[in-house]
Amino acid sequence: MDVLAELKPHLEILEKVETFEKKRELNRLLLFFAIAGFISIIGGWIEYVFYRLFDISSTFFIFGMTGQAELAPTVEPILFFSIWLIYLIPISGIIIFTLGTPGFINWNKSYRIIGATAIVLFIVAHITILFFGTSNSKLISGVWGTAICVGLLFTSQILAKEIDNKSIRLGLIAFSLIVFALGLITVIMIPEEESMLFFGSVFGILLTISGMTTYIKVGKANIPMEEGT
Amino acid sequence: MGKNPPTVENLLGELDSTLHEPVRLGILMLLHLNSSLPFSIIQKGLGVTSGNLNTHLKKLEENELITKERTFVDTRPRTIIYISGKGRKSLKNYSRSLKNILIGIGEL
Repeated sequence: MDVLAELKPHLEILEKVETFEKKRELNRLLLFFAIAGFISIIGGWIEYVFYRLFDISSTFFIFGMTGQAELAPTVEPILFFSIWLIYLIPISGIIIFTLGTPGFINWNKSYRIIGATAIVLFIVAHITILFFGTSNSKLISGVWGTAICVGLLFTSQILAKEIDNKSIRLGLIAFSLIVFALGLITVIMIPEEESMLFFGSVFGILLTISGMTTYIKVGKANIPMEEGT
Repeated sequence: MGKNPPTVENLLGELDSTLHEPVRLGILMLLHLNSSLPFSIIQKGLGVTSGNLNTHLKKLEENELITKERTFVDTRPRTIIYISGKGRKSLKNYSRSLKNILIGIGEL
């Protein structure tokens, strides 16, 4: 009895399932790109507003390390807590909406590793900025550029087994180099007040447009037609 | 006297006949990965006709391996398929048996 011949259709259907799941993972990843791009633009804008109004980065403000008495958390409690809300609510929302059923964000092991790495890099970037101090605020975009570069390179390796699309992984590597270069260019050429607005906006727009373009060209084909039954 | 280990042919014969059909196996595997899916996504994922899919879903439902929920979205019918606890368990057992068979023939 040729066992393998008998099992061939079963193995083929399992391969079909695997291919289909990887296509769905691609669409989820593209949604992440669009959301990340949006967050980047908002983050850059928040930094710009803080520099315009308080002549300080929001990172120093949220940790009460502005060196200015009038910006202490006890003097500006509403502003202090509202900034923390902007940080904590989206993160909490994402975590809560992904608990239980997979939903559209499937927190499988790979995405949990990526999420944990993102949180670690987020904390490390903040600590580095605080360590450099307010006198080196010009380096903030370089810090973020480096942190995001490391994150994207790491993500491209982790997603190798999730996404059956070499272009996406190469795209992540290309983006990592772009964001690193963008951070350096911003440090060298853009005034401190506009630096994070420039960095966040350029990176955010690139990320969002790439995600949307890829979805229109590739991801949309994976969406099924309306059912006939 | 020791008991003879089961042959590959024996293991094949013991496979759950409800799952040992490619489309039904594919349905349960998709649902195992997603807990529930609309009919249309399962159809697209497996590349089968709606009639064929309906036949297999009926068989799985008769064996209590899935449940179906019919709703309406903008007056259009939409059927959501859920895997049951029995379905998950059956799939696990089938996967274990399949793995043993593939090990037995040297494919793993």
